[in-house]
Amino acid sequence: MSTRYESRQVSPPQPGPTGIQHSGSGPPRRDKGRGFFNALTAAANGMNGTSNATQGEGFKVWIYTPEEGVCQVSFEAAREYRVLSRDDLPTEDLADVIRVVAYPDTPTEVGAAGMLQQSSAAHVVIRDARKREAIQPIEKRTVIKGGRPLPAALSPRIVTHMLRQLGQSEHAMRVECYGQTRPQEGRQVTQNQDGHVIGRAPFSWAAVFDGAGNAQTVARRAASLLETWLAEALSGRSCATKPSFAG
Amino acid sequence: MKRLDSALLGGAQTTVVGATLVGEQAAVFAAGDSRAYLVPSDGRVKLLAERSSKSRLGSGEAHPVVDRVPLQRRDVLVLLSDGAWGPLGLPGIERAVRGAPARHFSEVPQAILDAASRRGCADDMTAVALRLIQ
Repeated sequence: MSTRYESRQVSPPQPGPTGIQHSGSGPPRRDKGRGFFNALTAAANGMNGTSNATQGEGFKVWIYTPEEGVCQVSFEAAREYRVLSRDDLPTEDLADVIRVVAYPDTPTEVGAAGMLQQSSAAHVVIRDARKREAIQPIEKRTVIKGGRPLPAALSPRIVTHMLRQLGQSEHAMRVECYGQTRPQEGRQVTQNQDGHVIGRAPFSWAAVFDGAGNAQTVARRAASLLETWLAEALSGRSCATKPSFAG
Repeated sequence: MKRLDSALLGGAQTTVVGATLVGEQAAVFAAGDSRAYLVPSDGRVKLLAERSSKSRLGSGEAHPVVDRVPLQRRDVLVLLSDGAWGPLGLPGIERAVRGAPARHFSEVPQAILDAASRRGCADDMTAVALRLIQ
């Protein structure tokens, strides 16, 4: 995956006509590490009354989907009594991307390590729950608030379809499959009219066949045909692009 | 399935019961008297694709039935020919599958066939067992 950064400017979400700021998808993601650190600091202060710790609440992250970008534009249009049409929407607001705004922790007091106006948010990626994969942003922008760049705030844009791929391998299920066949009493193994087949890639499947009459080989033939056709369909060599069991 | 029905037309016929597992969903298909059962980790055993026609593949009249069932981990899907399910019935299948956890899962088909054999092995019998693990 190529990563391309552009230096552009964006504004943080503006209050709507009701004065309520549009607040992104879900609750803001707060810096739990910083909160834990603050709690420890408070506990330490309670014990000895002094602290060299830097004050701050940690970074906050808001996520905006394309839908929320359109909502924001419509709020602004309503506030100015304008009729909003599709042509008024910036193309980028309709793009298949989500916008992340990371408001960093910018401490105003110098701590022991000299952390004044230092950002606690240096980069933004989206990771799967198991933290095995990471999606990088396609671009980073500077956040403008009150006509000035917000110190060290980040607004990366992440392509939505990559989110759908994130953690797919995590959700891949493992399947255990075993089979056994046994001829009728008094029959030889080669006279068994049953057959079964187990396929393991790219998805798991299994089938049991029970041949009739003198058809001791028909079950094996059916299993072989089914296996061949499925392999052809999955490799694109057959007219069918996907296996279908609907008849 | 229709293609398979046509390919076998004129020769010996066969029943079929099968399942494909994609994600946490199984598509179960059947034609003839072979059967699929779902033995959930909690709950009662259930016959799947029970509306399947009695016509076998190769008859030119097979109308396979497809059932889509959500699977949870530790649910067991068993595919049985009539020689295996006939002597057992639902309670026998459930006992054979649920009695297996003490052993390895690979022994479930054998446990089913052993249970069926004890009641008389009057036909060829086949059992396939599948389950999701992670």
